[in-house]
Amino acid sequence: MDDIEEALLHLATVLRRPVVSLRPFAQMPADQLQQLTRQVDAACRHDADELAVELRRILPWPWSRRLRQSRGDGR
Amino acid sequence: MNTLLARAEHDKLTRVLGALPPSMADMPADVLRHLRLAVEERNSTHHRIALSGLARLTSWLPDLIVCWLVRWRLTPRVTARTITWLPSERVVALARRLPAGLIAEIAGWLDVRAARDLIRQLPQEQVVEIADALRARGDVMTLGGFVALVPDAVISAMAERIPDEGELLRIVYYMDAPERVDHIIRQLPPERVHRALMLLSDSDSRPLWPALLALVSHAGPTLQRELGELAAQQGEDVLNAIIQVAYEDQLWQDLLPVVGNLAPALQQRIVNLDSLLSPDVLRDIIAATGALDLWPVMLEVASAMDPHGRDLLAEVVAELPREMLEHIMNGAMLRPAWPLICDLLLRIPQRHDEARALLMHRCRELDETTVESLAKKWRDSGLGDLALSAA
Repeated sequence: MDDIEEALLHLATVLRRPVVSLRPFAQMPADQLQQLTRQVDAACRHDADELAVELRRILPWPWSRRLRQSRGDGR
Repeated sequence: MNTLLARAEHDKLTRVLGALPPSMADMPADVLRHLRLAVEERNSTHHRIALSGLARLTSWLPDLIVCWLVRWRLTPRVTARTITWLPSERVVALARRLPAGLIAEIAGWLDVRAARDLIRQLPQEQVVEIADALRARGDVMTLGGFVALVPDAVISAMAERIPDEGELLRIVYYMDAPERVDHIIRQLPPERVHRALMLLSDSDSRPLWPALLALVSHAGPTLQRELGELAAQQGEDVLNAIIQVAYEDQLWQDLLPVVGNLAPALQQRIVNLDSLLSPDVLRDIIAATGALDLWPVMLEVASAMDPHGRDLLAEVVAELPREMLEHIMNGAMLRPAWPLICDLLLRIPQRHDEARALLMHRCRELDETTVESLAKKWRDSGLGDLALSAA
């Protein structure tokens, strides 16, 4: 698998979308596609973390504890 | 590709992800939008169990207490994510009790589908108040998404409350549904549209000119023609300003289809504008015409060029690669642009043989009557014999 395909697969995993729907990004240089994937991943993780912090402030204790244990997708 | 639409999407994605890799600047709008919505959808899945639990909890509480929680305890992000788990009637009941400023803050985090349901059911006065609050926050991107969802009466009311045409343009620039631009412009009083076009004669408003061109490029053909006439009535300065911004910001791919929809008399004025008669500008226009495959339309428009313009155009055509020349010749087949092609070729004798070879090659696919007609035009214009026997 070349760099582009690998980066595309990573982006698809981060976004939970099929690779085929992200195919237009394959025209980007591999390093830039990797950078974009890192940005998307960071933005999503940041959102999940911020949301967890905001929820912990208001949720009753047992839920708050479960939240603290959850990561990223925060199920 | 619609450059302005892609730029607006690029701005929206930058807001979500930060500065984007350089090659993203060339991505089409629909690809950028797909990525933005995918990120938003991914974020909407975070902490679903906690959010749905919170929604369940609020369903047991009276509206007053939930509103107190929203005002004093929940953050806008938590509220926006929680209400997607509540029935829309409950959300509307709660929204009626909340101040517009707070709803505007929540709107920045709101899923489009939830926003659509909410806007449909809220009283129009409250929707207008929320729009005012978004304006007060300077959140034109959220407001742009919001405008695409609101009914006509709200748009009219909003427009009345926005006295500055520049602000109106910025909102329309970030609209999520550019196909509605045509309809929205028709909701505005004609004098507002007139005043917006007047911004083109004010160089201090230069930063707004792309937004104004975006508005025109998203309009339908009939409205484009009307807006073109309105712009032309403002004088040559306005038309030259349009050419200037299209050249400086590389917006030909947005502007050329608009020019193709204008009335012939206005097209004639435009192709003979001083600002257009420069080899650099013509080179860019030819490149954009090639990218959009607009040759038939643009050759017809260029037919109205005066001799000086044709000299310059011939100068640029003389430098074009063979495949571009072939596209031009093919474009001329579809519209009555042969007099222009022959006239240009007369000015660049060094490309006669190449053009003749291209035409003869094409003639193999044409019927006899068409070939004879082309040969006559070629001969009558003084380009010599097309040597049809070889075809």
